[in-house]
Amino acid sequence: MNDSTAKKLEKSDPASSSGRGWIERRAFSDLTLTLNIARQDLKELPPGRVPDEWLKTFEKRLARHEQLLESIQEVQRTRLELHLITQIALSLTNTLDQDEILKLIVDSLKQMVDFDAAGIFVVSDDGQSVEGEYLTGYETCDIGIIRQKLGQGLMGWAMNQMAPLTVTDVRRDPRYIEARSETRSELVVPMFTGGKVIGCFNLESDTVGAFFEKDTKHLQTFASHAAVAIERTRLHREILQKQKIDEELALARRMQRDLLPENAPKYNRFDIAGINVPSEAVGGDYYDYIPLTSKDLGIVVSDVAGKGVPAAFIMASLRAALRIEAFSRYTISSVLSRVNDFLHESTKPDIFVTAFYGVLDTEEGILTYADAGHNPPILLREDGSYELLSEGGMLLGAFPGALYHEYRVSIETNDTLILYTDGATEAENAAGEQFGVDNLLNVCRNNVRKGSSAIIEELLKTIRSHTGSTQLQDDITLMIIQCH
Amino acid sequence: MKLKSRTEGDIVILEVKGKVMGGPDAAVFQEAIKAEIGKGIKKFIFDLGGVDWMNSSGLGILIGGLTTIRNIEGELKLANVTDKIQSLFMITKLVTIFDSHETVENALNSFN
Repeated sequence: MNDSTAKKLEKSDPASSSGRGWIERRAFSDLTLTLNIARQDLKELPPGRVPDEWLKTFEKRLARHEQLLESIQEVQRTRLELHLITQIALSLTNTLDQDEILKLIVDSLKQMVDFDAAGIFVVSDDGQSVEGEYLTGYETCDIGIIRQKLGQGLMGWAMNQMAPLTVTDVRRDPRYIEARSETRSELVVPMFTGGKVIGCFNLESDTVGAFFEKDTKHLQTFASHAAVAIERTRLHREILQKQKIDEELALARRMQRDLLPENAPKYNRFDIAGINVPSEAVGGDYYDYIPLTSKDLGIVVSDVAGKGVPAAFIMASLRAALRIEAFSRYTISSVLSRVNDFLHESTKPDIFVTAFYGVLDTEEGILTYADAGHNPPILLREDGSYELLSEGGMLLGAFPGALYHEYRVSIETNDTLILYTDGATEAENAAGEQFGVDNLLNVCRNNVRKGSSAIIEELLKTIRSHTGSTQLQDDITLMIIQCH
Repeated sequence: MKLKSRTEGDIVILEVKGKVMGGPDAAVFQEAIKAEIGKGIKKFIFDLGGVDWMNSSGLGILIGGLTTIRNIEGELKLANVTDKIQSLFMITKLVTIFDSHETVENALNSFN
């Protein structure tokens, strides 16, 4: 609320004489008029001879003035209460801490109604658990019973009915659950925002009939302010939680980037480049260059089923297992068998990985490989023809004891080996059409003389122009190996 | 994903329809199989004719189903495998694991 509104409120405060309203002024002048007329009449009448008719009329007029004054008092009381509520509602905007808000609400209630004990409760969406509470006057009571009051007692009833409840004598109400033996009367007001109950507050008094139906009207207005203030603290907490998750995901992304190669290794005869583009903060694609000896380079392109954080966990395990096995085993088939069994032991059968693993002899130009259920790499020959390196064995991690066979292929001068994950070929445009292997091959063919890094750049550019503004549905990994 | 099951003798035919893509689908699929196993069923046919789309997590669901059925020494046949799923089976080499049949009729007849 701004300053000018606050000033208006101050002006309208009925406690200040300058702000007295027209109703009050009118009532005052009417009463003065009545009295002046009476005085005039009395002067004109002979002493001791006031007619009955005149007295009756005078009494009637006085009764009307009395009525008017009563309603003026009621208006003034309402104005005072609303003024108080507005002031309190203003103070509720000063903090975003739920515990502080709850305490402030209960303290504010004390300014409006007298009570001996009070509690305010914020409940979860399903109403089953308490997400926040503040109690006063229940110091010697069992918290378990207070919770019971919330679920089944008068509070449970008021929240179910979404209506306030005044009980004049709790001893006569079968719904009442006793937490304080001194309590005689109780008032419950549910709080809701957007048609959804978020909790309630409850006031208890040691006096019978301490609360009146007319109290509830103002308390309901106050409850709607209180509910908004509580809802604000919840939204604030959610924003903070989301910020924390975002920060953790950004950290996970940096850590995962460290698990992927920073640069491609350099060899005289081979020009190598690779890239990984995750569709979310972290992903399940993995590619790697593993320098086994000075001339033998292990190459991996793999894809964990699924994406996001769950896939990223498996990706990290796969990398660790594969690197350890690659350095300690001679044959590709045994490396893959061991990694398969390791993944099978570590995950449920519906989690699997597809991988291409090969060892490139960078001097002889021989690639020994096995494809474990992965999209087969394309060996594009200088003359434009191509071969698919699809032999190997079952995808990894689903079936124990899977066997893998390794194959050899010679990579000649000006041949290009294209390795990829299905995120590249299955990238869809708005019409749902996939980029496809043919397009992948064509882009490589058209840019074959530009070198591996430039081919990857062209591929990404073309895939992105295919998908348009559509967000990537899956991680993309590309690796190009060219022989010179 | 939508699932509908019917029984032919001691064989349960599970009709799979729509997009099969992991997440909550996986649990629904497993529950459906386990419910049948609970009734003493050991022979299953997954009718995949109504599957519009399946990603790698969807394949995982099929593998999970196969593993559950194998664990009770049951048998699984696939029927009406679409071209798209067949090509996924080829790439992943799952073609060697799944016993696929062109029609539900053929799959039914393949049980001894």
